[in-house]
Amino acid sequence: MNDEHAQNTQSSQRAYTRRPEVEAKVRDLLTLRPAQREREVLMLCASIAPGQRYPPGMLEVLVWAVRHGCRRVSKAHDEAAARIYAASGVFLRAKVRKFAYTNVEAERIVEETLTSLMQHLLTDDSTISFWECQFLRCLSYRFETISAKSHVRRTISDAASIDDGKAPDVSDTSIAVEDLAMLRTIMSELSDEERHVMYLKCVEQLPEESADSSVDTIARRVGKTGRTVRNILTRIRERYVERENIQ
Amino acid sequence: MNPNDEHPNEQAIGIHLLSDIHEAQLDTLLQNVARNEFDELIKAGSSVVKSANTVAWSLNASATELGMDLSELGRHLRLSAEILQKLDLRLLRVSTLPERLFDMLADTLIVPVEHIRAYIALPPAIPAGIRFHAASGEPNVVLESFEDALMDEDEISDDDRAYWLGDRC
Repeated sequence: MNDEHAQNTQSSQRAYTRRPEVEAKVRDLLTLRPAQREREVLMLCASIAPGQRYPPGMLEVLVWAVRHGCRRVSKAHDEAAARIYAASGVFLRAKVRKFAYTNVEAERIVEETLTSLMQHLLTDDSTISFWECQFLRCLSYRFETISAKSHVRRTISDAASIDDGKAPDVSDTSIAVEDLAMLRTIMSELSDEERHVMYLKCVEQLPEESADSSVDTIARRVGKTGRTVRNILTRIRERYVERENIQ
Repeated sequence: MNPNDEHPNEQAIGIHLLSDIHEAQLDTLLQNVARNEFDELIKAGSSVVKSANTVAWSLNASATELGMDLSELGRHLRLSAEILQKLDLRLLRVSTLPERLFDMLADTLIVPVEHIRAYIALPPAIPAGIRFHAASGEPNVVLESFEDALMDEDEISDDDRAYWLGDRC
């Protein structure tokens, strides 16, 4: 997991850096006295609420506040952690609906992902974590890891019968049909190199890079740096996001 | 499986892409989420945070983390450092403490009021130099009422005493 690498920068020889808007906000908060800082964090928490525009980078700032910026026993610490939990819950519930899981399984996956998130947030650790740099990507990785373990899946066509209380058909096709169509379009547009990287990432599940020379990595397989590999994956993701926004 | 297949393992790649999360989606979701659903999630999150919180805490330590000593905290609360020290050691009877004291402590220390209540309701701490019963081995801790503590306190002004006790002083 990338966030684990982030916590162990000595072994991976990699230090994660916050996005500029997150870094700027964290620096602003650090200039304040502790009481002022916590009151400011409480104000920031209020910006993550129903009906509000989401300020980009706010979840990363709140992760920093919970892990480093606020006292462990304080309103700001508790409120920031609860807001992160709630925003993540909203998103994970929406996300899990894209897959054809049973209701029970979907809820289990969401709960397990949230538990994993909170364990990370509430563990004492002075190092910078990847959750402070790319919160949503971390959440995505956790979701991916946890959901990939699930074997109770159903197709969209099974959904009605399950919700009617009939026995579920277990299927290996867990992706909704409309998403599958979009996925096939994206796949058909990939270059050979991109296709190879996706294959190594998703099917062989290799890490992008590793400081340990005995570990097989995507970077070694394709003869590129880890950074280039990550850029390739990001480009593919962005293409997917563009398409999803159009839909 | 061959990576050059037209559709190499759609399942695995689909999970990778579909589970990706981006801020534009979060923005849309937060604008449309029902208030009660969000409130339920906040409640669940708060409960996880509370159950995980096992950090040693005291009024004094909390004030110190905010750059205050008990005298400065006392100035905010219109109480003396000595009374706050007694409160911190839970040497004042909880039932005699005014409700607004909890609220003011929570506001000044920026700590959840439930946390202050839970802390003050703990058994008294044993102050240094306390005597123990020879027979039972129990500490000989005598709890005081908030009113008595204020009446006995020289370091507190009449105005501040009246602020807390009203016409009882």
